[in-house]
Amino acid sequence: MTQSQQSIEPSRQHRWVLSSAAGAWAIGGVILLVVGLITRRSDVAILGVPLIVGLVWTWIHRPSGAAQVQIYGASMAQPGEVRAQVDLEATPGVGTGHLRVRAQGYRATEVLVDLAQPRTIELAMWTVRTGRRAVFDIDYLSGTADNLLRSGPLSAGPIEITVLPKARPVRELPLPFRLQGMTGPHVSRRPGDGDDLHDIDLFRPGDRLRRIDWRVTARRLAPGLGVSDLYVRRTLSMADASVMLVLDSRDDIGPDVATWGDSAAVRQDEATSLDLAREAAASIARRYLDLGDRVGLEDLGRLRRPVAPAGGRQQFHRLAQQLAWSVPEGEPKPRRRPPRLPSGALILVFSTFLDDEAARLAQIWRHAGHRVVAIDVLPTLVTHHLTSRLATAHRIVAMERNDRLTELSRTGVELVRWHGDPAAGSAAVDVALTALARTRTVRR
Amino acid sequence: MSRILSVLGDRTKINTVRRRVGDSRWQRLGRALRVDRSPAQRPLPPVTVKIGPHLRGWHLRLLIGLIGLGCTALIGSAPFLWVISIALCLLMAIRPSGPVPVIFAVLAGLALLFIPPGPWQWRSYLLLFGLHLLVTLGPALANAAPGSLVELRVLTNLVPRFLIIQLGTQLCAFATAALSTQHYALTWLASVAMVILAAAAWLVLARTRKTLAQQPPSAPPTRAHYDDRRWGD
Repeated sequence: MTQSQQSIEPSRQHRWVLSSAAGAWAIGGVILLVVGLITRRSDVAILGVPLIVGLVWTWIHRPSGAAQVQIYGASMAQPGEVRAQVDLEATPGVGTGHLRVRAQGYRATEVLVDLAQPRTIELAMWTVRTGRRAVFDIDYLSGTADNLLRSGPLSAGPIEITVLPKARPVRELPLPFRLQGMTGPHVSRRPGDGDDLHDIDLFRPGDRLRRIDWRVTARRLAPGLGVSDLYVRRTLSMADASVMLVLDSRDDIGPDVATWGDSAAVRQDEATSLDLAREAAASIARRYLDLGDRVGLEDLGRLRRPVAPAGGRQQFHRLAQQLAWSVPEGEPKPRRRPPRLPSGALILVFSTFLDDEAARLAQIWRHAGHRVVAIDVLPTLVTHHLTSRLATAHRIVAMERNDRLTELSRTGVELVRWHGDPAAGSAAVDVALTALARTRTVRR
Repeated sequence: MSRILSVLGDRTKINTVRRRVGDSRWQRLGRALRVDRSPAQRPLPPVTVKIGPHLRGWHLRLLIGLIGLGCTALIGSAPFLWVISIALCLLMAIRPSGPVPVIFAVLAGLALLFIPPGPWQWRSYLLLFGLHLLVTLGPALANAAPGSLVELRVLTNLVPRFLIIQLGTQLCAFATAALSTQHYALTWLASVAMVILAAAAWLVLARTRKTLAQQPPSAPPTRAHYDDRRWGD
């Protein structure tokens, strides 16, 4: 796995200055010595000696070279603990290093560490958010052990880490109305080369000899006559499914409704709708790819080429990376035509359905004959602290959204709600997806 | 994103001030008791920095304040002295950086002038130790915020230097006490000062010589380029 790293240029660090305390030590020491000498009080004069001697000691052992700070970490990570390392290398004389480590949405941590020898310090932060993130911004101040001499403040980082969505285990998944191809993991309704019996028919040119069912042929023999007709067992062909994941990355909203505007930032320890969408898409894609199906990705927030459906482990990595990189990019341009998706593909739309765009496209695809499943990724909302004005606005938006979802169900789009909490929500998601998987409405 | 919510969300910036005024007492009490906090008001998660055994910055600030009070107790019990001392100790605990610890030491020295001179006692040695510790710890923790983590190795690294200087100073004090009892007050002080200055000068010279010895030799002169013109050409 590649690493991203940042370092401070040594040329900027080679500036050592006396701190304000050093001046105070000099003045205070001289005052005590002089006053003690003038008043002939040895107990007063001796109090100035440690100050003067300490200052001389520091000046003699002052650092000569530059300190180096380097921060590095894996460029890819999973949700959970994200880590990075800081290498601190100081020249003789440098005693302490004062680090302030920051990350957006996190409380900064300050540490005063020993720098007598080169060392590596580990940084960590717990995150449930996914996507590309700039983390671990470091402000750095080095000094002598007593801090009478110190270098100017410097900065290192942040480093960019892509937190990939974590795939949650899913048991059963729905299949498209029409399976494609002559090979694959699923049994189709067309006769072909498979295991499940379709029917028994007369031997025709082109049938394989090993498919002849001798028992049926013998049973059909006329008494006293030789073999007249041969019968073969015909089987159902195997096929694979084409699945298109349609991600609505135009919204990235948190559970706190008050943060939906610009007045407050979304907390970093709460998964947003886009995090849930990434997790849902990755989980479902993983399961389909494990079965041997082909999965592609279309991003409604970007007017770019979609990831074409394909199978295999490499495709999962490609999808996970694309999912992690999908972010809201300003005001999205309205699409005049729906994105072109492979015919017969199962379409899974991951959206909050807070506006009409995703629902409109889902209905168009459904009318075109696709099986469409709408995955609702709106987080469980926190509304108890809302002001009356916000609560009213939220109620209006929620009613509009409910109408939209009802309209979707009415047009034949199937609906599944993806729960953010894996412990509580996995069972509900599994039940909903299994119910869809066992619904067979149209011949394949 | 719903336009209604985004517009209202922007307006909450203004409404925050109005809301505070209009809040009922119970809501304020609830917020104070952290009962009905909104999710955005919860403390942010921290960035973890994994270091060795450590203390919190405020532990050491508390220690500095206590050392200051201890030193005051060694000097005397005048109410005025205690008032100033407590104020300075609070100041040191709040902001240990800068000149405050040294100001405390100087004021402690000046306060000694109001006490009639007497023979050196254990209190004098302890005061010397305490004030030295105070002025050493103060700048060392200058940049450490109360909530910051201070590695114990930072403090242990200070110990050798502190002990060497402290030992030398205590020996000086002991010699001073011995000499002062024999009425050689000014003579001994000058002698001790001379010894200290000589030692300091020797250390500085030795250091300078060592630095000069470590410098690389100067680079050899490079050959002039063939088309460089001499002065006057």
